[in-house]
This record gives sequence, C-alpha cells and structure tokens, in this order.
Amino acid sequence: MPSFKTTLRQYCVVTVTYFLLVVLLPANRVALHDYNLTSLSYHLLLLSIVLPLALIWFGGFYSYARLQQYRASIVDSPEAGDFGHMTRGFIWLAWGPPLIAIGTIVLNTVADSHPPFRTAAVITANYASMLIILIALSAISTGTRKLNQRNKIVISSRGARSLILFFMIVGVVYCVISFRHLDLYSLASTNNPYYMPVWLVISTIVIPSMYTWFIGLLAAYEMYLYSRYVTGLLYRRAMRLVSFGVISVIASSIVVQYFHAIVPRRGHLSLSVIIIIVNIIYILMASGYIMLSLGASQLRKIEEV
Amino acid sequence: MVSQKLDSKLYATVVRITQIYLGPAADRFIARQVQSHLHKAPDQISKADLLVLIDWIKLAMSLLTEDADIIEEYTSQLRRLASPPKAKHSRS
Repeated sequence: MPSFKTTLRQYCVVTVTYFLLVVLLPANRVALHDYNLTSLSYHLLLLSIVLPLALIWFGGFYSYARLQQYRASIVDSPEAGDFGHMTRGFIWLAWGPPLIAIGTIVLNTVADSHPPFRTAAVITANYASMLIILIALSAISTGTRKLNQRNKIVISSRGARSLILFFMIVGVVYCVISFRHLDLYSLASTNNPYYMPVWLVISTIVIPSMYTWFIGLLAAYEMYLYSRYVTGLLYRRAMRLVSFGVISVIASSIVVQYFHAIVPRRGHLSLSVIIIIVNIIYILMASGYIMLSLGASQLRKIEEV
Repeated sequence: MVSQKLDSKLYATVVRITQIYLGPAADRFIARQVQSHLHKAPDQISKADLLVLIDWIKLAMSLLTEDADIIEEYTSQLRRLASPPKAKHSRS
C-alpha cells in the first residue's frame, strides 16, 4: 500500500503533466473556429476550466489516501475486506478523471492534425470514461453490500421500490434525451456524436451506462442504510460522514457522466450551459470528498486511541 | 478454569457495553486498551483490573468525543461491573 505522501506525490505528477499538456499542446482548431478564440484565449480558457478540476482531483486522491489509512488500521478485522473494495473503487474514481483528461487532450491533439483519427479519439474517450466509472462503482457497491450483509442490514421492500422508481425515471429521461442524438431510422447509421452505429451505441454505451448508474445508486443507498443502522453512537457519527461523502461522490459522478452522455464530447472544450451545470456538480463532488476524508479520519482515530 | 471462564465473560460484557458507543470497533478498542495499558491478554481481565481500565477508557474516549455525557454514561455502565454484587438480606 503506498503511503499518504506517495499518493499526494502521484497526484502532483498527474496534475502537473496535465497542466503542461494544456499549456504546451497546440490549440484545438475546431474549438478555435467554433468559439472565435485566439490561441492565447483558448489556453487561458482551458486553464480556467482545469484549475477547479485539479482541486476536485486533489479531493479524490486525498480521500482515498485517508480511506487506505483507515483500512490499514483495521487490517485484521472482518470488515477490512469490505472497506478494501470501497477503497479500490475510490482509487478508480480518483485516478480515472485525470488519466482520461490526459488521454483525451493527447488524442484530440493527434486528431486535430490527423482528422481521420477523430472518430477513434471520441470513441476511445467515451469508452474509457464509461469503463472506469463502471469498475469504480462496482467495487464500491461490492464493499457496501458486504458491509450490510455482515451486519444483517437488508433493504426494505419500500426502499427497493423507491429505488427502482427513481432509477426508472432517470433511465427514461436519459433515453429520451440521448436518443435525440441518434438516427433511429437506421440502426447502422454512424451519423451521431458517438461516431458509432446506433445498435452499438445502445448495446455498449446506453445499456452499460444505465447499469453503472443503477449499481452506483444501489451502493449509495446501501451506504446510507449502513450508516443509519450500524451499532455504536460514535462509530455511527463517523460513518455518517463517510456515508454522506460516498453518496455525494457517487451521485455527482453519475450526474457528470449523465450530462456527458446526453451531450457527448466532440472535443476537449465545451462552452455550453452543461459546463456550468457540471461545475456546480463538481462542488457537490468536492464536498463529498471532504466529508469522506473527515469520516475516514474519525474512524481511524477510533482505531488508534 | 472456572475463573478463566468468568474473566472471558467479563471481557465479553465490557465489549458488549462498548459496542453501544463504538459499534464494530468495540472489540478492537477494548483489546487495545487491555494490551497496551494492563499488559494482559484481553480475555484475562478481572474485576480487579476494571477500575484502572475504566480510567484508561475514559481518557481514550475524551480524545474521541467532547460530549462529557456520553463518556459519563459509558463509564458508569462499566463501573457497575466493577462494584461488588449487593448482598442479599435474608428476612429473619
């Protein structure tokens, strides 16, 4: 297990790499043309978007380092494995966004000078971001499920029904919005923002995305149940912070992916209302990471005194 | 043999009371206090050790919470274990 300092050093390396790429790589021609920007204003604009992102990434790295420390303090206990799964999920959530950002900016720069490569760049970025969040939320969900099983906490019938209803509403709205981008008259048509045949978009983007969100919602709900019904007054207080953190991070990750799914990426700069909404969601994510870190620190303190 | 059984029963009772405050961390918390301050195996604590253990627990709990009521409630439950059972008065 890497130490706390190593994790923060890794964060610095990843973030500095991204900043250098943003500053040094040539401006995206499509974005320059679409938004009437000069090369300098393009880079300044991109930096203004990247700065808050770097803070969110710091939250991700910091909170998983705290979770790792807590997990290390209970390594011989039965619930160590469950927190291990959750920590792995948060490692994916922390590493995923900066790595995707680095990959996307490199791919888009290559695509800018070799236009036929643009399709491959967009497809790769879409699949990578979907796959990373799928792995992350699956790991977190495994952890929360096992924690609840160990403590004999089960989802009530009412809770399950509410969850299904909420998920159905989210799913239907997503389908209605995202299908507007697809040419549904021809399943083989690639005339859509995904640059893929419709049948492939539905089977490998739409369905897996919805599955990922459901797994995430379930994990968030199970985490809430655990923090509500687990025994121990002080343990529950700390766990409640962890739980609110997990719920905020999962919910915001889902919403960010949701917005990227209904308005798929064409390049690495987008100046629509969506970017404002996504930034608001990032604030929710940041507060989630703060609560998660505080909760994990409190839990670790219980194990150390 | 009988004494050992009583000791492990006492340990289990202390853990059960602690679970009300520390949940799944209770067992580890008590084991740590006994091992590091009383230098004994956790299930070997006896009633004679309890008052010292309660002092250490009080100190440890004050690092975890500023709520004096919780600490008092917890330690008073433990103190009840340390006090000798009341003698039964037979009516003459």
